[in-house]
Amino acid sequence: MNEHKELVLEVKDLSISFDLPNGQEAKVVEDISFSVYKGETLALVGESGSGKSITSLAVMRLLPIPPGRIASGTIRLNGHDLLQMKLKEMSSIRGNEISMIFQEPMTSLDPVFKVSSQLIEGIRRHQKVSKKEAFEIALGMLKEVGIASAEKVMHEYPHQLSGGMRQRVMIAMAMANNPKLLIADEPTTALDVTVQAQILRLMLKMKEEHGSAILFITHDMGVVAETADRVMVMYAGQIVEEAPVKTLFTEPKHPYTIALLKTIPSLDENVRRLPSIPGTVPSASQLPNGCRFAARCEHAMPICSEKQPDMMEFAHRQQVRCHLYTEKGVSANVEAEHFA
Amino acid sequence: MSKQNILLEVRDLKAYFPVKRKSLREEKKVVKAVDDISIEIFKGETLGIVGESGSGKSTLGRTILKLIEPTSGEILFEGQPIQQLTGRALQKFRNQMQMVFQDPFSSLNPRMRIGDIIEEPMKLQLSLTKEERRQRVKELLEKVGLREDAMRKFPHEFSGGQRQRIGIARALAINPAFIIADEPVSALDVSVQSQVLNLMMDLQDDLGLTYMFISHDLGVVKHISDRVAVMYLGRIVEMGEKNALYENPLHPYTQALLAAIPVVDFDKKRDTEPLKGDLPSPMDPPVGCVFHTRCPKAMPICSQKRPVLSSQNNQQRVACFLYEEEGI
Repeated sequence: MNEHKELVLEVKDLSISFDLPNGQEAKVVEDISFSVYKGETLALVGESGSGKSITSLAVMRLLPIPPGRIASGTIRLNGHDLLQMKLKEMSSIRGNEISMIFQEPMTSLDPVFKVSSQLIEGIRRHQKVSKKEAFEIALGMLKEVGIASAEKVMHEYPHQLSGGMRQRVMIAMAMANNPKLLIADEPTTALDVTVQAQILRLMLKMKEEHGSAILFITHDMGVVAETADRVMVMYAGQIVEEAPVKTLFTEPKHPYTIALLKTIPSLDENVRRLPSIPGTVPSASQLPNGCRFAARCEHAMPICSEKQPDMMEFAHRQQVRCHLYTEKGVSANVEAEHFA
Repeated sequence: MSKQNILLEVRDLKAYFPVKRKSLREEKKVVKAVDDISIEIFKGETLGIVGESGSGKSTLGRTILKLIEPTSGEILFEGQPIQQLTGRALQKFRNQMQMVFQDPFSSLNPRMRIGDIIEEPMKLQLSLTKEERRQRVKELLEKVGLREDAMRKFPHEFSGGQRQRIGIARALAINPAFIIADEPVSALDVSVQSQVLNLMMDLQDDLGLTYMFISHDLGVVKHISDRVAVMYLGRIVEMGEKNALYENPLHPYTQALLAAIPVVDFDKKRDTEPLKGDLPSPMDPPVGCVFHTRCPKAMPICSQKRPVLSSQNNQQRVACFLYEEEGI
């Protein structure tokens, strides 16, 4: 499929469980597989509780274990299995080959150290350079992420910076060691739209110039459309649909994806009532036997509450997990209904 | 539009907050959270207030409810100034207004049952017997789409969307005419967000409510509002009928804000440059037009004089020198 592209991250059959105090087991992530290639942005979309952040923490090996537990699966970065690595090896990969940007930049920067010392520490951890050289690299990074008064910002503490500025510092820190994989967990959710536009543009520039692979976690479909190359939709711990970005928006197949796209208030159309998805996401400790979306799905059939659907392949590398497409004839109906 | 009944009118409202000085020698400073705002809200309409964080939109809402004492200016509710109201008269006025908050997790008392949470405002403000109050709680729960047995449960047993429904039921408990909703759906997932928006619109139709809807999300505001006001650094820079404002934004800030929203459109790629820099500190806002430091169309006059909000056409008002004689 992607022979010409270099595979960076490969996650196979990953399942993550949490052991609850009452002895129950919550399957937070079940059997997910995906790959991210060099110079590509893969967006991971889902509502809260869908397991998207847990997946990214597992890749970073930052899951709280216990109560968390990786029940099965492999996570390979450039062919090396991260789950088999010793903690020491892992920490030389973190911040070097994989970097992460979090949603709330204030909680991920250390409030008692100046920006300069935080950046220099990260650089010297992975590169053999003197303090002075590291300072120069850090300064260069800040300039690259569009901070005009980089010299001044270097000597400031995180609380002296605005939200957008802090997120820029986080990006500078994440990119300082030229990571092969950048994980961005809702990087712009806490920011205003005008600042969000700046940050998204900056991340695009970083991808193009450094060729990093980006795993972009978000719940905002507008952001997905602007940044992603491929999209994965997660629901209650499973991937329900995966497709190239354009295919996902023009020919969504899973009823959850279709509903999700319809619930966004549009700026161009005037509708009196927004379509909404009734009910809420099932809790990870009380998952239904059949399809996890069945209870909220308007196309639910008897089989949906009995048997879990399997992932099915379609043209254009689109994959869908839904019973509607398992029997021929039914699928044509659904499409006619939605695209008429 | 002026023929419509005005429910609430705000005239030259200011809410300033003094800033603690680090030393006595330092100059006295104030944060002008709400600076000279005049708006009117008509009966039965929804006025949307949009702005980025720090623009003063929440302070405006709180000042109108008299939760924050205004520095100067007038607030008229049904033609009556509310500043002087005290005691009984203030209580009566407060019965007419309620607020729905952003965070459904911290705005409900975790140690109270849902029935008691919704009943509490009735105890203070309505002369109903215990029986009648309970009956009304049941009706309200049904109205916001919750089951009757919710009465005996605690807030932690509900999801975010359900809690926001409870917050709305509590706001409706004393039959208000006017509701200020401060980012009521920002903490919710999109699929749940639309449920709550639909509920709010249904309730407006049923009960003839008037809303002031505060949000940073331009899509949500457009969906629910009739008219929209755009705030920047404590001031309204543009205000108008929603379709006019979204289709033909006049103020450069409104234009930039609308251009910054990520859109699902693969045919036309965005080419406008995003707005540079951050919101200036409200402690020392720029002299002249508050937006001139980030404005792509700034002229010399913009840093000297402050533009006033004036009518451009029947549907829009804008505060910008681009549309004034002096500027051209």
